[in-house]
Amino acid sequence: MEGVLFEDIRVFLPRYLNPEHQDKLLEAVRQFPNIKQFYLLNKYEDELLQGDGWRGFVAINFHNGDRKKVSGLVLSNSCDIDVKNPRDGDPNIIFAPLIRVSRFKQILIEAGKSEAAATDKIDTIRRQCITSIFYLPELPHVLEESMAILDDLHQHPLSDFHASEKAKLFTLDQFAFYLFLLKLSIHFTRFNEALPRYSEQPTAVT
Amino acid sequence: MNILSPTTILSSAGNTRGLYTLVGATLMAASIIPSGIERAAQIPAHKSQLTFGHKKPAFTADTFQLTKVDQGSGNAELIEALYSVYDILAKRQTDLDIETRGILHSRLWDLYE
Repeated sequence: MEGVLFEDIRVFLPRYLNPEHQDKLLEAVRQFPNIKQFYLLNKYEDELLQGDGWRGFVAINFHNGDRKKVSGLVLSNSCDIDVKNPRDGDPNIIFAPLIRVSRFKQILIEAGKSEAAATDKIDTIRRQCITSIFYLPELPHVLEESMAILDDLHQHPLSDFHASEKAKLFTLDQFAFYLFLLKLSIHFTRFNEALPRYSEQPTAVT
Repeated sequence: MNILSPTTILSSAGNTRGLYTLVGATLMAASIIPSGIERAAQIPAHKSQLTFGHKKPAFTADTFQLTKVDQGSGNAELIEALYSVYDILAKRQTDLDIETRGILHSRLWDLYE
């Protein structure tokens, strides 16, 4: 039985990984929630990929129309925003603005939360246990410990983004990318909640 | 095995095997969504390799041609490790409490930088 379960799971590991990289992924899975390497260094430095952090997005305030240049985490899938793929029209890059964890803690305390309570909230976020928040650990000299709010999304036209001043902040490493996709899946689909959508009980099939 | 069928997913909550199947389904979803970007080496420009829509892709073990590692005594450890990811990322997910969420969302614009 155990062997069957193992094969079930193995089927869903990505085929595009070679055996060495599969081993690395499995090792990272075993170590979760301790992740040795969250970011991929010196790879894909100019490519716009799902899960990337970029400086240069423009967020628009729905309530007053204000615009602000921000850093953001890319949610769009890589193919849809790859300039090499021919398409009609100009797609939008969906992104979540990045928020420094230290600033979030600061506003919690300003709002009257105790140091202990604020720290407790932050620890929960660091464990990736908040459904609507993807936590990003520090990347020295590039990114302070940050988070992206998955229900606070914005869009930026692809053509305008490429024509604007921008800079890549990071690319997620393989397992961090998996975590990101798992959190997106849980946040947006909740397929594990198993909510049947029938107006009445289905008729038994004989 | 048609892992992505609604029946499989909906029936997955009630038993241990179902939970492991759900882990597999989640990992599969994660692995097909980015259409195969392998993040450890440079690869050519990525293009969609799968057909989405009403017709379900026929994934089988043969399709993936996986290399078997950690067979035998390592299986339990691997399954436990995979399950722990699902366990933390799905079963233990919580929403921000209403007060904290209110504080955060009332200051979001100030927090962008």
